[in-house]
Amino acid sequence: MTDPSVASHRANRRLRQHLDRLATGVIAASGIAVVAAVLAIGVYLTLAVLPLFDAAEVKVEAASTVADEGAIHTVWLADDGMRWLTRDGQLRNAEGTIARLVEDATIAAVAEGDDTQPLALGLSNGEVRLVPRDDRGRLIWTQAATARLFATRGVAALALGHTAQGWVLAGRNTQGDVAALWRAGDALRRLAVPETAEHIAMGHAGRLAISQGTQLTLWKLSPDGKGTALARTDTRAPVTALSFLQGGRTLIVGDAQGELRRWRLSPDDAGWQAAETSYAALGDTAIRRLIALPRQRLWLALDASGRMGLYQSLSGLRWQGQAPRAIPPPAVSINAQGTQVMWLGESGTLQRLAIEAPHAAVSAATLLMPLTYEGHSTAQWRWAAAVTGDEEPQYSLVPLAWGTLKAAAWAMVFAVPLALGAAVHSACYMSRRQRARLKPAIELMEALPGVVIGFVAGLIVAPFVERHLAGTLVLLVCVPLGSVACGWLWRVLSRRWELRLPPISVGVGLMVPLALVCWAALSLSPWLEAWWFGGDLRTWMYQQWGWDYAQRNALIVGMAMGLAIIPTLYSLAEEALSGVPRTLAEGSLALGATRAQTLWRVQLPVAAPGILSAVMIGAGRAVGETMIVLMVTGNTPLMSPSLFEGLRSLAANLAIELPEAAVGGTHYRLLLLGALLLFVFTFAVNTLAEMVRWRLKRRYRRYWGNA
Amino acid sequence: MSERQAGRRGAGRWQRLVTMALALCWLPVMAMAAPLNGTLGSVGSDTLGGLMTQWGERLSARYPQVRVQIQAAGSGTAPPALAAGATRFGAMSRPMTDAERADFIAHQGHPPLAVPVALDALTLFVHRDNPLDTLSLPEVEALFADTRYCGQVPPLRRWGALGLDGDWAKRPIARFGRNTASGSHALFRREALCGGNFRRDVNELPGSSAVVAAVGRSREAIGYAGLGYPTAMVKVLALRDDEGTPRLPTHDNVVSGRYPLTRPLYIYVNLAPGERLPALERAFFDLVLSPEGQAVVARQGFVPLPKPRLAAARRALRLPPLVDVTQSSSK
Repeated sequence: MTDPSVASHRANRRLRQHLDRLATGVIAASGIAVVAAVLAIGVYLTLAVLPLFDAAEVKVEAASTVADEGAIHTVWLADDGMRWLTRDGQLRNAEGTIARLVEDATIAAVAEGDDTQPLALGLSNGEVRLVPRDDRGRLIWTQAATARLFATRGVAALALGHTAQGWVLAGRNTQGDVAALWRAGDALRRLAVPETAEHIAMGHAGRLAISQGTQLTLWKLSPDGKGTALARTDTRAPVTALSFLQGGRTLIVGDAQGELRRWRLSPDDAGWQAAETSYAALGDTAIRRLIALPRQRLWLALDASGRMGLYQSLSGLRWQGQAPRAIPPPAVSINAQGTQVMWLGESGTLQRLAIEAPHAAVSAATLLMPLTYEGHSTAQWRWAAAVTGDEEPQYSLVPLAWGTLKAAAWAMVFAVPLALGAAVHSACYMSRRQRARLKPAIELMEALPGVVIGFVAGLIVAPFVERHLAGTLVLLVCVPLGSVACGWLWRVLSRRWELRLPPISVGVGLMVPLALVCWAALSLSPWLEAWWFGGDLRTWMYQQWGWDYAQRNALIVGMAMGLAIIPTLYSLAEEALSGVPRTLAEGSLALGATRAQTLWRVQLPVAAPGILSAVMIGAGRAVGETMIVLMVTGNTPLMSPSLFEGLRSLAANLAIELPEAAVGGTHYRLLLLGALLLFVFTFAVNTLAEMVRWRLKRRYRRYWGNA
Repeated sequence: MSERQAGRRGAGRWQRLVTMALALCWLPVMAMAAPLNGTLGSVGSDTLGGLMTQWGERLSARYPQVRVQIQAAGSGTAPPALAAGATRFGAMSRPMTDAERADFIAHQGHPPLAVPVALDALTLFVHRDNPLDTLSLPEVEALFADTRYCGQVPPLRRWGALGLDGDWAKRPIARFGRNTASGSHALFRREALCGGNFRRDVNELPGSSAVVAAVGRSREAIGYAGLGYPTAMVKVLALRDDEGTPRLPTHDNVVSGRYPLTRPLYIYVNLAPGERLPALERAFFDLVLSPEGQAVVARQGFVPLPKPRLAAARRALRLPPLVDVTQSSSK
């Protein structure tokens, strides 16, 4: 017979064991889930970022032959199937002729602009047929108009370009004469260029590039008919192909030796940029043709031996391979996204090139190196997302990384001395009762939301500091000096009353003189400014050292973010210091060391790893902080170390730009790359700091164990 | 008496029964016609945020079952949300770009419908103490851009370069503007900078009121924002046109386009061609494109659509034409 109480006791124990196992399981699962979640974020970010570095590719997709072999000039792939233009001027599709565009001449050249420009057909009799577009960019075949470009000879090449009010169509005839049609509003004007050319290319606002042999000339056409030659240059080898890229400010020049060079219009549009850039060559045979694609400043280059390369204006050669067989240069048609090129070879073979280069504008060089962007004369690190798709993308992560580190560094400069000073004081000098009051008070500051700090700092402190810059700087010097002086004075004076005063009076006794120092600094600073700095410190700084002062600057960020990370720093450092075994300090004091000596020689060295980890965690927090930086800085992606200029941090950049970025686009993935960098940085710093703290704890345990 | 009363009571009972039966028959019909309910969501422009909220409140007042949710983080946020199908309304203070349109078509299979709902102008403003009154467009470019795509004015570093004297001559220029998600930013870049690049030291703030507040608190600042935002803290500048006449962004100058930086504000709708708007969205647009809705536009400091454009917008949405009181009375 078993005793019922024993039985119930046993059941109870079993239940408790089960519960214990369950709890262990739940806790372990939660822990693993947290780690898994963090890792999942890292994996997700990595997966989202990786496509940025996929190799670009040009695929030859469909090869077919079309009817009217040999007589076809250009082929389009529209929504409703294929259509093509025959050399004798018929627009046809599989069913038959849709429209007859030309009567008694043949088509010799086609220029197809974007959806605000017409389709221009250059004819063998010197005329051009212009097919207008409706307001949605569709061609209206029935309303084609005719204009005369050349009196006698036939048109050999055409090029279209944008102007502020309309477009310009430049043409070259079989003899090499150059003329243009300028469209502004409803008026169409013919302009003649008094030069002969082998190749022409049309840029923005009437900039026309022409080449004859090795001579390359930039013309500026104007609607009043008076064109001017802006610049003439001799190239190293005869020019064999010319094309402006999207935007019309960068000219690509291919020559007889297979070299490809980039010429940029100078910032004032009055000539070439001094430094030309050359790209990796495909081979050493002449460049036959350059095809500018309408997005991302991409282009295709073809050379005489049938090689083809896909280039991007900043990141260079992205892909090379063999071009589909088609010699002489085929007629091409490109879709609006620049992802498909219809390619018609000589004997009616039709090929579709699929261009898979969604992130061609990104390479290690564009992310990290200073580049000379369009419209600029010097190489710079710039971050400016392309919003409308026409701008040149400026995707350098360097200014953002710089801004992040700069903000964090200045925040540390403000926070470390204050937080460590407070930690040392409360851990080593305060009574246990005082510490019990102070510590929660400082840690409560942690609960202050970043938005509130950011708001106050951005809208109240920043304008105040701008108005009282001298006063603020004097304060920054006077407060530390003042506290030391007050401390010393207090020590001298209070020795007499030490025993009679309550401990709290130390605080009051320091506060009142410090407040006086602050008041004096602020009220005397205008005088100081008037005596030393000619009345205005900011002007003086600019004249003396060339320093600009921005209202939203690193000084304000340093103070605001410093305030935000003080609680973290203080709390961790205080923990490390108060964990130092009391036996050590007592031993040191007993041997006759002063308190300062004990602190410096015993307590600080023992706690140093803990303090270091506190600083690291504080730095990690400062790097990841978003709201304060977003609201306090002007988000200016500058690269200056100056305390008085703004910055743009990775985290703030993410907050500002992620909502607008098209999911899956280059911009979006670059923002996630920024996020990944932040993640890796804070993960590494925090892990390292935790490891240091763990080792420190072990060391303490050893001391306690011995004691 | 009592009999008659009883009879009347009986008749009353019958009447009640009949009305109840009739009411029961009518119920489904009433349910179809009357109560509009549901939630109308919009994502997009910060400039349009105030207007959308006002219109939403009015719609909720008309149809108490209707809720309107507005997210106003910037025009750039509208196309991704529209394309992903997260919203059917996208408020934008600039037209969609080709790439955004293409992205939308790729996801939804048809182009979005752009409905102009008000006119706006980008205003430039300085601190109220600043003696400057007018600027030319090339000067605007020189202030905000470090490219020179519109004019050739050298970089302006001090207010003195714009002709201010005394203390102002030495003062530096602080520049404030919107972040890149904003249609104001994109439009300013296209129109005032001719597509060039902003200087890197132009402060980018998330929100037009933040720009106005920042300029209002900094004596040396200049900024840009939509029409409805400037407060008494700042002074709106006139822009000189090609002949040198200063043009303030007044109602007349905006409608006539004499003020250079004008723009329509749009609501983009995910509406397949040939499809009719759902009743709720129809009611919303009927309100927005009515005299009452346009009065809200004027009260918020923007410019109401001129009548022909209003009529065209209503036609595009297949809304009934407005009865024009003034015209019919004059006839």
